[in-house]
Amino acid sequence: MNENPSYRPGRDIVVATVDAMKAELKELIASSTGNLTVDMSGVEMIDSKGLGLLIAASNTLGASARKLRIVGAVPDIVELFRVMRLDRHFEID
Amino acid sequence: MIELSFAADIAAAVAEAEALCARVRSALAALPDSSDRFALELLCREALANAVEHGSGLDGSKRVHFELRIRGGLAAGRVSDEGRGFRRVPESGRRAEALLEHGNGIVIMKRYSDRLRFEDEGRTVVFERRIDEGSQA
Repeated sequence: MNENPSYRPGRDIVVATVDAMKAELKELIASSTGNLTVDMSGVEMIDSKGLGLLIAASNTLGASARKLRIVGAVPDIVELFRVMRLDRHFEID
Repeated sequence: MIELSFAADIAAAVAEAEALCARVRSALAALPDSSDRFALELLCREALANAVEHGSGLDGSKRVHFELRIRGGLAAGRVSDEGRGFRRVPESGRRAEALLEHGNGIVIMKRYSDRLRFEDEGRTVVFERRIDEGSQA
């Protein structure tokens, strides 16, 4: 089983893409152990649906004492996480 | 002074809204401040997503009207749908995280706009944001 997996969407996490990413994340979380790193390089925009996806993933991980870590986010997206107080949910590097 | 006037009518479908958002991103490239570009695209995205999904119920036979105008350091957006509207803004009394977990973007629109209002019993959303015009005369 994959330990401490990472996920790199590589494109915007928005209403038009979030369903496919949801399926990928679900499978990755189910087939792994440890903390999950989401590499945001290549992501220019995330909307409410995208934030909802990350919150849901964080909650799923949290149920088994795992954490979600965000790396490589552009400053505007880091600011969005802070404005929406999601830095309490995720570890943001 | 930066001036921009952009209007479009689209079918109430996710793919049409996404294509429009790509055009909005290109148009916003003229703004000097990255935070303004990000905020305005996000505001447009959330308003369009609400109109397409919640307002129109993803019914592609319905139309969504979009306008974005920038003039005199003020950006103003207006998005209208043909849905049933609502009487009460579907945000009251709930935590931002709970709303976001269910993809509710109104909480984002409030944070990223200077003014946000609904008209026509919720079928139209209007947002305004002051923007930085940089050193351009």
